[in-house]
Amino acid sequence: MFNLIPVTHPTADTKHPLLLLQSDQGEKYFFGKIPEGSQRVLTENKVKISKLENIFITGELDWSSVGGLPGMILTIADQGKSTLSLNYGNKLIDYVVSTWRYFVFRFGIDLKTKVLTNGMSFKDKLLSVNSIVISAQDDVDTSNIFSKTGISALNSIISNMFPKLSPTTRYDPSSDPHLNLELPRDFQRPQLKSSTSYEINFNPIRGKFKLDEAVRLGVPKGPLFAKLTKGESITLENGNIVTPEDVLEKERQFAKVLILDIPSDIYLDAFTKRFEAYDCNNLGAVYYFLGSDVNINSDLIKFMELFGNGQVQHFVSHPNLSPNTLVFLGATLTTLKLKALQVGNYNIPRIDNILSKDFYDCFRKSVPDGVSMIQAQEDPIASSLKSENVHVYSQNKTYVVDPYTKTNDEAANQSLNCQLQDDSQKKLNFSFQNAFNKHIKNLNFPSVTYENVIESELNVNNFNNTREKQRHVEVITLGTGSALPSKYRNVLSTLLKIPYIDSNNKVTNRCILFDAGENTVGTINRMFSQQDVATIFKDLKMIYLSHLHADHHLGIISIMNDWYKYNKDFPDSVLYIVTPWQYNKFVNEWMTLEDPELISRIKYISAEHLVNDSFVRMETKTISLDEFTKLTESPSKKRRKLELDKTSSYRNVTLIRQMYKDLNIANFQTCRAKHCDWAYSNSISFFTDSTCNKSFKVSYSGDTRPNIEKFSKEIGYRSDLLIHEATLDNELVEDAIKKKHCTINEAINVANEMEVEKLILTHFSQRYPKLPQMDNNITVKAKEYCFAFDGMIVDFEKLGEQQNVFPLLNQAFAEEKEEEKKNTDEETSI
Amino acid sequence: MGSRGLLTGLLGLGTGSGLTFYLLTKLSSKQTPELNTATVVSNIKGEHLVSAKINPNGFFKYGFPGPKHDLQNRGEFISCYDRQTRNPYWVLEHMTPESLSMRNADRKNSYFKEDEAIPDTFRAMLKDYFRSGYDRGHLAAAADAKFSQEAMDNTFYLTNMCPQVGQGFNRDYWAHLEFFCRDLTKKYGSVRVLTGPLYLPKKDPTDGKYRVSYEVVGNPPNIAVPTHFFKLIVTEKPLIGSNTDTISVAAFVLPNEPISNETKLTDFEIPVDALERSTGLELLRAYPTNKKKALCKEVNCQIVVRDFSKKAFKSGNKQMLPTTATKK
Repeated sequence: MFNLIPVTHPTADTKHPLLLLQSDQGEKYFFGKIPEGSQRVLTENKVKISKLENIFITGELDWSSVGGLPGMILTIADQGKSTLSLNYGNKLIDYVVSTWRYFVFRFGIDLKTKVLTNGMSFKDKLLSVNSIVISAQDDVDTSNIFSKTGISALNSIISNMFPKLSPTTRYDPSSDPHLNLELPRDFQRPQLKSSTSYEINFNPIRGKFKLDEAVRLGVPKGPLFAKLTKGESITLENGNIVTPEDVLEKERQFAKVLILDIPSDIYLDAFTKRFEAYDCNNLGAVYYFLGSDVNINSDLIKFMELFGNGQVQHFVSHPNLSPNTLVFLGATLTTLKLKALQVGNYNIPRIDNILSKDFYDCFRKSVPDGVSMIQAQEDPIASSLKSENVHVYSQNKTYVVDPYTKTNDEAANQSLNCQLQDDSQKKLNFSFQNAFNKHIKNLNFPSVTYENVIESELNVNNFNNTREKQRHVEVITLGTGSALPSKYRNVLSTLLKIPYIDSNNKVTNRCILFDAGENTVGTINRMFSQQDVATIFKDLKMIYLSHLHADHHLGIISIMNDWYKYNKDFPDSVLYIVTPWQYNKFVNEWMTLEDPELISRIKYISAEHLVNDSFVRMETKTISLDEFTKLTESPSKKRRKLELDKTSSYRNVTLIRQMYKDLNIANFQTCRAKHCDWAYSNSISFFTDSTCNKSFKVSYSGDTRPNIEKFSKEIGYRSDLLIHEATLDNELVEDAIKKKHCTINEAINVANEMEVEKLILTHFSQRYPKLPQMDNNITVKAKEYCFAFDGMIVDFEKLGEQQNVFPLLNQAFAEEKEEEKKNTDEETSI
Repeated sequence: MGSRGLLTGLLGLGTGSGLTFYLLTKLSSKQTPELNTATVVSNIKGEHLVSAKINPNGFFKYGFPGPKHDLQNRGEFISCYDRQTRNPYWVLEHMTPESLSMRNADRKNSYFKEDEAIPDTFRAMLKDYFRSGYDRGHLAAAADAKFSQEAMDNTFYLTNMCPQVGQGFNRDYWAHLEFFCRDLTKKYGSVRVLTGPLYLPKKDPTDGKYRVSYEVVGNPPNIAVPTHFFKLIVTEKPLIGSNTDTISVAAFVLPNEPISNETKLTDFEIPVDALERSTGLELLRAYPTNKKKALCKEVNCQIVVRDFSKKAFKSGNKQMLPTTATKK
């Protein structure tokens, strides 16, 4: 028996479908995409992946399809997983993995990429997976993308990214000549337009051994039995021949399954051509993973009809089909509880989406009351497919493939013995009313009612929504956890809005992001309506990355892509990125693959160039492909030390000045953080009006040990606002030293020494998912301070209001604490 | 002394200065106030009034002040105009499957026009809308009156307009709501829609008191910008099922601001008596309660975004068709 279990479906939290195939022995395979947020879904739903060996990636390779993969690799490597293979239809997968070399490297995991070109199969004892690679244009060769040199460079990089043994000395991938290597870029853009799909065939299982029959035929017990079960005929001593068919019940088959990924409409013709003569015999189910640009119209439905009627089940995934269900329920409840205490500081998560009228009408699917729809064609679609065989792909719809015995009668309507287990209604039954009644009402907070907290707040955006707030600095702590996404806190990201009042008394906004961990974009999409999302992205002017640890930046590419989506039509808008230099290399390599036009809109400044030091460290030179070839051909394969790029120590003053001017910045400095190589803390003063008399100074620690000398006393001194990491509780100071983080008291001390006006503490260890240590800390000298929670919207002028509800916070999370205790008990008992 | 100096002095008086402004600038017009000899009978004993020598009615010989509700029947709709805000109080439309199936009009032939029937002191002017940042938003939509060019032209009177936020509202969500109303004629033989502006109070975060605050556009300021709009929909004669005298009713109040398309229409639904309180209008009171049904229980009250732009997008034909026409 095999189960096909949707892990993700398109929602605000997770953009794409990921399908888990699981055998009854527990072997696991992933099919589809690994969107950002995937690993958090696994945590939320307690999906164990120790028996996962193979991921079959579908579609095109872009960030939204595989953005959750690097984080997942790091996490499962840390959990001690030893082997993992990434299967894809061409060599592009190697390029993709290689772009991660500056920040994804782990020791002890044997991570392989496997290229399954069109027609090739993956085989193991349970199944075979046939690769189906389809090019958008049939005259373009999408299988041979790279030259020989390119391929060998990619192979070398990947094998060095995941070495078996850890090195003895401190390791910096940017100074490893095997990693700091130029990536091949000799491909043509049309060559990237291919989509990988799969056909899954389960190995038949042999029929039961009919012991009585064997004995009756005179077969002696022992090795001859084994021969028969292996399919060999035997000759008995009396000369009689016994064939397997005599003593075995009929072999049992499984239905086959198709996973088709159509990234956009330009593929539809090629898909239609490929499957026109497809043998639908024995076909149980077809999964259609459709990109958001695919139009749901009669052309698409006609394509689906190629797979006939009969018993074939059709599961269709598209953002306009799947419900926008809340994927992270634990985090949602946290937000609602916090909102009950501070109504104006949180938004109710948005669960609306727009469904395809054409599809829902055609297949007579019920539409929830009031839900908005999109119609793609004037006339309704008519289809020969049976409505009950067509399903909206979503979580909790499991397709079960059981074995069946084939009958000889071809004409008979052979049952394929597959079933759909549909528990999706359970998820759809979520309502804010129920959540409120079950988890908040009983807390008996003063003047907290469903009307106040939920009903009157639906569709309300509490960010930048009043004339008063429009003139205030506001902060949204989008993600507030450290290391990896957990049930209650996502990885780090902080958004700042600093208004600027021009000479006409008009307010313009500058939004900047301090770090953006995986799925920051999901949090934004969940918090805001699409209109408000557009506004935020139009106002976004800068992304600052403190250091290269993955929990701080795996969300940045999505942010850039969405920024471009909303700014494409405004040729003057540019996005500044201030990052360690390696990250810029990654951005360029990635965007070469995904959207080269975007590169021209990005203004990159090295964080090193803003350092408050007369000494600017030099970058290491990237080895070109030519040099690499020579290196590999030369007999002595000794590791050479990498050359330094001498020009890199000259600060890019022109661009820095331009940034000051464009963003009305008075001063922007960094200092080296006490964390890892190329890690920084920063401090920025923004002019707040055209007179240039008033400014707002914000400092952000990134990850660091307390840095009194450089951060408190120099660049950050007397900041209006300090956002500081406070990873660990006070008694874990040794851990803090070891992992180069701060305890809460250490962070407070940095703020006190800095003489800041206000303080936000964030980046809490996922060990204390709900509440950090709020009592018994040292005195905070800042006028106001608060602890960050995911999705918290803070008006700088009212930053300290949280202090009024400190006593109630413990009460609010008693339930989660209980569960946490239970989980730890469970873990220890195992 | 020029009028300018006087003006500044009066404006200094603060609130209500906008009104004073009009009296000064517009009184020179050649309008003769209409005489109205109406008498309002009082509830005080006659002899006391006589001995006190008072008669408020005597004022009317100078002219009855109003308010006057400029009612106009425009064929597809009737409008009732508010001279103070220079917006309609309400606009009442009627649509039937028949009226919407007739296509005798083209928007391109229609143009926006001031309503000359309104004395220019009180009239909404085209120049008030110019560069105001707001759309001249139809309350009775042009597309609701396609059965005759004249009827469509009539929807272009400014007495059928309110300043509406264009992008995200008038050209988007509001337009989808109008389509929803038209689409109801697929299920009902008669659809009546009462549409109008609202000026709703908002809680002031600084002192917690409720205040009404709205912009006024034009120079001098002339036309109020509503904070919200309402639609009251009444349907009769369901095409399927028994043709009874039961009506289906729904009321919606939408803010005059960009609304994301994914927002549920039902999130804007309010009870009819709540709409009465906000508008000061008496709504459907003459009809028995037991003959009124909730429209949103009969049909799914939802917007449908019609985007046929990508229809012809196939590999053979990569040229994108223009997106759906936007209305201005």
